[in-house]
Amino acid sequence: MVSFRDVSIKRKLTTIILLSSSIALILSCAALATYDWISSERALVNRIGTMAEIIGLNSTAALAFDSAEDAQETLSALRVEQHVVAAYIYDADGALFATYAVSERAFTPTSMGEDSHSFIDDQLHLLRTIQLDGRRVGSVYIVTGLGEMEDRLQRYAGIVALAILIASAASFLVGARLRDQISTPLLNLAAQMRTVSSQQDYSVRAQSYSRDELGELIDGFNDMLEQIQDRDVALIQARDDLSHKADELQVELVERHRIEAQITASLEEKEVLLKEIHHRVKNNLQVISSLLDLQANNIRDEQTVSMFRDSQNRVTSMGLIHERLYQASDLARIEFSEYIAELTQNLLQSYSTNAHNISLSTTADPISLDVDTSIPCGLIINELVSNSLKYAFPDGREGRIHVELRKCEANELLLVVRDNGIGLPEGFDARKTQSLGLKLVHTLVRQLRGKLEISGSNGAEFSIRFTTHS
Amino acid sequence: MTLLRCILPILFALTAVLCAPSSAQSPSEHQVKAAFLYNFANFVEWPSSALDDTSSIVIGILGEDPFGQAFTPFENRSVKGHPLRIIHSKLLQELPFCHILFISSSEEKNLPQIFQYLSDRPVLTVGESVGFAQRGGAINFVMKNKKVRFEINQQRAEKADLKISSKLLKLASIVEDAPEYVD
Repeated sequence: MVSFRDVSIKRKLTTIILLSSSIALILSCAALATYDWISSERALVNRIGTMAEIIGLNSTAALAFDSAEDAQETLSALRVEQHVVAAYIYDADGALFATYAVSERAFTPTSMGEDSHSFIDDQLHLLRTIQLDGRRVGSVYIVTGLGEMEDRLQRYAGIVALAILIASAASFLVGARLRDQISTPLLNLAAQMRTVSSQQDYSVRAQSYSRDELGELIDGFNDMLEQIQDRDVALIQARDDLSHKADELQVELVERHRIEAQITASLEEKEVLLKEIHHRVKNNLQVISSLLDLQANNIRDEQTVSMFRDSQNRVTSMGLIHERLYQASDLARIEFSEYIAELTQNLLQSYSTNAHNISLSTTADPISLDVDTSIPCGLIINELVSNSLKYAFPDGREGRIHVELRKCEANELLLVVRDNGIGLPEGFDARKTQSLGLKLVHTLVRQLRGKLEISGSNGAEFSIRFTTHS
Repeated sequence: MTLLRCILPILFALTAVLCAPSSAQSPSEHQVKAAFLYNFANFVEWPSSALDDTSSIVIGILGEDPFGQAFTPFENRSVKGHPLRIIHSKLLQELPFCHILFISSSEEKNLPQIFQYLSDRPVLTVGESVGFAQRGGAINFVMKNKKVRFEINQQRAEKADLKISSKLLKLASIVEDAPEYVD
């Protein structure tokens, strides 16, 4: 069973046309039949009433002159009326005067006084008074079956059925034409739509037949197709543009990769070069140190030998920095705590002859420093530790030297070199000293833009505060 | 026959008197005849010379009056808009113009003179004597199966310029002139 909703438009329209024309016909025929029934009731009342009046008129003499036979004869004229069941004439006093009866059933009027009629049990009961010279001389009472009206109604029903049949056929034929006006464009449109959706062909256009809503629908459909087509074209254009741009980007990317590789290569090259330079600087410094050592071997003067050794230590302390620079991953900075440890050990060995009772300790936070800071810092430590080793513990005294490098505040570093030796001579003024080492320390502290504090009461303590960049 | 003619009016009068109180149940012969006389006016047309719009319809009773109180129900009635008058006289000459003249059976021997006197004047003559209609009267009461019926002499009515309704004619026995009529 297919739901009416899913039936094709063509069939729907046919059903609607036939159904509505049939309903209209049935309703109007029912109205007509009702009207006809009512008016034929009225007509029957009129006709039987007229008949009763004629009978009454023809019975006045019979009533006036008490001639029941004559009245009977007048009534018998009702024979021609097929549906009259019974008829009676009553005199002025209401006594039965004459009778005409088809069936054996007897009827009596409910009241005798005035003209009346009523429909009871498919029968018309009609009473008319008989007047003579304005006075009531009797009454006529007629009982009629409604067979006539029923026959008429049956004929009516037959005609209506025939009319509906003919009208349905006519409206089917006419409706088919009208229906096609609506269904043909719709069916064509549906077919076009299927073509569009199955073949993805948006160049198809539906044919417009009329300027009504269907025409608008089809025009709208065509417009929509056109828009889709335009959009398709725009999409393809945009896609092409995009892929073109992607190609360009690809080319650019390749170029960038190439440049990047070039940069990386040149960077590596630079690093190699830097390492090589540091290596060579360190080697050269080592050569200088060895030359100084060789030179010192030929000198007998203790003071001169000491000066050579100091110079040699200074060169070595710088060489150590360059060695660490080319060994480090970052060619610009070195891990300074490790450097301090190595530097102080070297110094301890260098002065081992007169320092075998001296212990040396370092405490350093892990700090990396660039070359510009490392060189002066290294030289400062070299000078101060050398001084302590040379002068703080005379005559083979026991003692302790401590080097400390700490981070204080942001970027500020504190370098402390301390010993528990004899301390500094009284009235010691670092700025007026003749010692090359301390002069160097001063110069280097200035170079670092640092601040030097010296305490000489309980051993010697040099504190240098300076700021590193980064 | 003569005896019968003498006794009949007495009998009629007697029955009228006897039956008057019980008229509602079964009207006497003369009550019926009185009603018929009144009703004739409805079924007969007089020429306009005899009956204009203003005049009364006059019913005259000539001779012995057999009706007694029988006309009482009709005394204040009118017919076709004309008031009804009932006048009784034993002498024809004493009567004014009557539209309906009932000639009592007591006048049977004077009938030729009466008819001659009336000539063809528009008077509806009604009698209750045997052969009344054949001898020159218009309507004559007769008894049939114990019911009052009537004979009509249409020729006589036409001569008197009276039009008798076909309805009335239908109920009557139609008779023709027969001056020497003998029962």
